[in-house]
This record gives sequence, C-alpha cells and structure tokens, in this order.
Amino acid sequence: MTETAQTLAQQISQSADAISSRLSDDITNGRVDQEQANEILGNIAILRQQSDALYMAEIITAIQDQAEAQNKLEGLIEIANDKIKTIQNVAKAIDLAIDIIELAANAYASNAEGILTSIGKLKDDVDSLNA
Amino acid sequence: MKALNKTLVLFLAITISACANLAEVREFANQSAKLSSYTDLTTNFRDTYHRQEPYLFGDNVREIARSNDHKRQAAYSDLIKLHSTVILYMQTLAHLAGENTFDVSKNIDRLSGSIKAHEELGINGKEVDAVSNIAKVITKWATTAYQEQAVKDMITEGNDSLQIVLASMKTIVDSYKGVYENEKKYILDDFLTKQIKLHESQPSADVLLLSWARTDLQQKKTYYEALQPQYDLLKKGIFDIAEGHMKLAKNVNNLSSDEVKSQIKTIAQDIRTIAENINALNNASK
Repeated sequence: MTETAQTLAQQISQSADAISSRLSDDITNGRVDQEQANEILGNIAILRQQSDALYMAEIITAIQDQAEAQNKLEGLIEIANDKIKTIQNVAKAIDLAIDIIELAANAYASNAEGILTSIGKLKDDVDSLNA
Repeated sequence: MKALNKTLVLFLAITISACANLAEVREFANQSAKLSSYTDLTTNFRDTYHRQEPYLFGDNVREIARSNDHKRQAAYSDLIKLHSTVILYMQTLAHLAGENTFDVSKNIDRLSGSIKAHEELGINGKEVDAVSNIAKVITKWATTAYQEQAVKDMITEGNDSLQIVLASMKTIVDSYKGVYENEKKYILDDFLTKQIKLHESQPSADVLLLSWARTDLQQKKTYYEALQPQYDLLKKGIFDIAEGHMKLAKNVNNLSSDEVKSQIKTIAQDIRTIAENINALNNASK
C-alpha cells in the first residue's frame, strides 16, 4: 500500500511536470494566451494537490504501521527509568544511614536540638525514598 | 584474613575491568537524541497550505488543498510524538549507560565521613576507611553489572521496535520531500515563472506588478534551495541511527571489542556531522 501510494504520487507529479514543461514552451512561442494558460495552470495545481493527497495517505499508513512498536518503546523507556530509580533509591538508602548515624551521635551527646534536626532530615529522606 | 580481603578486592577489580565500556553506547545515544531537524520539517509540512494559499486559484483546487491541510493538521501531533519517542528512547539509553548514573561511591564516601566525624561512637577511622573501600569495590561491581545488563536489555528488547519506528520515519520524510517538491515546483516553476513570462510578453504589462513578482520569485527560490538538502540529510541521519542501533543489538555481548567500539564511534560522529550540517543550513536560511 505504502509503496503504491508513493509511486502513484510521484507519477502524478511527473505528469504535472510534463504539462508544465509543455506550457512553458507554448508561452515562449506565443501559442497560448493568458486565459488558456491559467486554465492549464489550474489543472497542474489539481494534479499536484492530488499527488499531495497520496503522500498524506502514505504518511497516515506509516503512522498506523508503527503504533505498536512505538508503544513498546514507551514501555521500555519506563522500565529503564525504573532501573535507574532503583539505584537512586540505593544511594538514598545510604544517605539514610548517614542520617541515622547523625541521630545516634546527637542522642549520645544528649543534644536535643540536634536530635530534632536529625529526625527532620531522616523524615525528609524517607519521604524522598517513597516519592 | 588480610590475604583473603586482598584476593577478594583483586577478583572484584578484575571483574569490573572485564565489564563493557559503555562510553560509545552513551555517545551514540546522545548524538542520536540531538538529531532534531525532523521537528522543523514536520512543522514545515504542517504549514504547507499557508504558503501555497496565495498562489491557488479556482474552487476545485482550493477544496482539495484545504482537505489536504486538514489531514496534515490532524496528523501533526502523532508525527511529533513519533519523533519524541525516539528522542526519549535515546536520551534514556544515554542516561542508562551514563558514567555516574549507577555510581553510589560518593554516598559511601559521605557515609564513611559521617562515621569518622563522630569519634564518640567508638569506631576507628582506619577501619572505616578499609570497610568503605571494600564496600565501594563491591557496590561498583554490583552496580556496573546491573547497569550493563540494563543497557543490554534495553538495546536487545528495543531494537525491533526501534527499527520499525525509524523505517516509518524514513517513509514519512520521503513523503515530506514529495510534498515539498510539489509545492516548490508549483510556486516557482508552474505559477511565478509562467505568470512573469506571460506578463512580460504583454505590451501593456504592469511594471510594478512584474517587479513584485520577480522579487517574490527570488525570495522563494532562496527559501526552497535552503530547505532542499535537509530532507536527504535527515534521512541519512535516521539511516545511521537505525544502523548504529542494529550494530549494538548484534554485538550486545561484545560491546567492549575495539572493532564494535570503532564502528559505533564512527556512526555517532556521522550523526553529529549531519546534525551540525542541518543546523548550519538552518542558520544560513535565517
């Protein structure tokens, strides 16, 4: 279907080329007047638009033909992003350990303000892990 | 015990060095994601009627032209989405193959720094360094292997679908070029050149009208000439992306071989050159 539509579009365009070339000669040799030339130009324009319509049909077919493949690529992108997120979560989990050490040190030093800050940080990091 | 540690570290170091170097994959995917001229040519295709309209006369031809225009407007978002998917796929592959995407060594460094900063916890600094170093080697080994497998999976599972999407893009660009040729021939050769000739042959020709028409013809020629090479360049770029990804898929278990790396590098360079040439053409036409 695609091959046929494109070939046909090219053939119609070539027909328009041939008529256009003939018209050029006729104008140069004074064989056509303005009115006749305009009529022929109108026909050439229609041929070119019909050729465009066939190219458009080919594009619509191409879009439909690749829809399933496009969906699969979108799925793979999602899977890849999940894998990247898994590693980011590992990095965040290590950062959680840092928060816990800070909390333990503050608890050991009985630093009430430090404990509260550490708990806040820990909560933020846990939230970002769940995000 | 120390000997065992050394052996373990040595084994892991060798294992890591045997893992594939993903630099070429990353570079290829990055360059592929930068080939953006498809969007410009798609927008140009969508706006065909806007450029043609002043040169169309007669109800019949205008009706067909408007119908073509409606179809182009309706297909525009699908055409753009198709390209966006390829770009996003390549960006994701580049990120997946990224040098630092799977690296957690900085987090481990911060962790060991935090432990050492709190001497009151009673953990010796040298012990922390030793454990931290081993932890970094082990995590590097684990994450590198995980990353390599993730890249391989994406390339292997994505290749068939990517080839289909890229083949469709080539067909679409062929059609863009066909529509461009029709537009260029109609406005330059069929309409403007012939109308100028017809008017020049008339003794009572409107001189002002003729000069406007000639100026319009010159400007349109410059516009269409600048656009002409972009279709073939873009097609070559799409072909290179398809070829490069096919090579990756066929050599997915051999990505470290010098031959494969060299081939992928050359393709990435070709894509970069094509993108630069298209940008230069775009800048020249502005």
